[in-house]
Amino acid sequence: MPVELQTDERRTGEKNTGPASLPRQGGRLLGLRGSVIVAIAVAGLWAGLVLDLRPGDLIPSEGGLSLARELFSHALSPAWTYEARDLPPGIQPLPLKALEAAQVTIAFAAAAMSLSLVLGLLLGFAASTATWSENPLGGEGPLNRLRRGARPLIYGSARVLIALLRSVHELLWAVLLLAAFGLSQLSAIIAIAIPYSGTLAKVFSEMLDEAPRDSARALRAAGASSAQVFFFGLLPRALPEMSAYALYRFECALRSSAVLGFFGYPTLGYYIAASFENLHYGEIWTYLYTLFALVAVADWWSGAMRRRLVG
Amino acid sequence: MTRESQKGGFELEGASVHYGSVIALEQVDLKIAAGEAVGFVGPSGSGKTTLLRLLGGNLKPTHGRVRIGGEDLSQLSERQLRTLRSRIGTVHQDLSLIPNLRVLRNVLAGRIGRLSLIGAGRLLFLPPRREVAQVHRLLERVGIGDKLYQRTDRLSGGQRQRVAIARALYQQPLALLPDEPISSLDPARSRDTMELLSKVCREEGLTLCASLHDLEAAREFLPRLVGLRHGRVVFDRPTSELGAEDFRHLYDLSADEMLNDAR
Repeated sequence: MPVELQTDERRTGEKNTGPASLPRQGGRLLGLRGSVIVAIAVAGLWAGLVLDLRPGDLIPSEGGLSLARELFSHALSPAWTYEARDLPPGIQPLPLKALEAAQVTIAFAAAAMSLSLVLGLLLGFAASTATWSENPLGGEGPLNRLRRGARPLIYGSARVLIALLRSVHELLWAVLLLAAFGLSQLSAIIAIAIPYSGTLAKVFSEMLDEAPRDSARALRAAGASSAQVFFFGLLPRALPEMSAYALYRFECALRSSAVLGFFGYPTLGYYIAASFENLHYGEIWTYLYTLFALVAVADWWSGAMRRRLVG
Repeated sequence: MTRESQKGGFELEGASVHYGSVIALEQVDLKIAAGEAVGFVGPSGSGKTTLLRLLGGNLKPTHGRVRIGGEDLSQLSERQLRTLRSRIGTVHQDLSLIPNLRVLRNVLAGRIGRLSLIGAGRLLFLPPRREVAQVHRLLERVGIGDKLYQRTDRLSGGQRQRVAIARALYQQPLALLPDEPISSLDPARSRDTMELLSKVCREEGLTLCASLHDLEAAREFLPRLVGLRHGRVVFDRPTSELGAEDFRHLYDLSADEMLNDAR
């Protein structure tokens, strides 16, 4: 950015000595870019050695190969009826069962997202430097001093909390919460909502910080208070991006909710795991295709919304 | 002079603004009466924008005194400053509109400085019919009445300019401070905008302080010009008394400055 450079030079008062002198480059052997590439290559080799990776391990055993053959041979013929013999009386047809599982998957994702949106917005506001950016004229008086003192405290604790929430994956939270509360719907929703709130908060705070400040400045010039500047000058500039990101996270929540089925929640993952255990290969594909369709529809819908919001 | 009649006036006494070691304004003495129309001219970086920020109550002088409407800027509390700013219509060079909102809401945002947080939210998202009608009247006045419900980013540059002016007028200001209002417009639209600004200010009795680098427009539409260079006032006279020599001196680059610019 030439503009930045110029002001920088002016500030330090640095001058080129004459027309012949070229701008100096860093004197190191490798530039920053070179060092990064070398570091990545070294890390890859190190990981391979530690994990004792051998390409030969990819050749499957005889049993594994037949299982895979069996599974993929059913890919084009998903089941329309149950493969089990003795069905309980009054059970609904398989396609309806798959749709119901899809509905439960959506419900878990929607509940988790609603919860994480509330928490993510609050934490995102608290962790954004734009929220706390100083009034150019500065306030005086004891109340303002107290408020200024509380700022770094709230900002810092929000940052730490976000890091804590994000650092543990939703599956680990699910294991913890299952152990603590048993197989309740709420524990699954909270398991998804915890890391999702952290991620939303982190990204929201960055979007707020990167949003253009021009309209905020205009409102301040028209006498708006700090809170008004934030809610009506800054937030609207970031809101399209934030909504688009929230939609994308809803897609991710659908996948997380499906996977939580492995713990016994009646989402698509539960039925996929159950069919696999019973070697009902056709049914696996029925549920898998339902999941594909669900994610594809969500992707198309959120894509269309995002284009309208951001475009 | 009564207090009310000086409300839109400005008075600077030895006002300086320093950003660290950078001097933006140095020892500026200036007196602008309520209802007067003044242009600030000078090369880029001469301090025009800083001067407007000072007059808008957005900045306190590093040294010296600034009075806005008879009130000393340094004596005001944060709340009083906000009230003061809410009566000064600043039109920023980049317009500073919210592109993804309708024109109506952008104009309504002009008045939130006099409302509480909740009141501002109510005005923006559930505006009373009376306010919508008033915004519509203002938009008609600046010539884009039909754009009331348009998304702001769908408008042309000239139309957006008018939205920004309408927002400043909706503040019910005592003074209008446009910063380079015509720098991004073609000649025909520049004339329209300058005509509009001076007409509105004349009719409403508003003080008009515009920064301009287009000398011709400044001489045509503003009866008094203040020339700035290196943050200092070079001249401050009625436009009719200014000659070509004054302007040549204002923009004349000395050898030293050329070196600075080339760097």
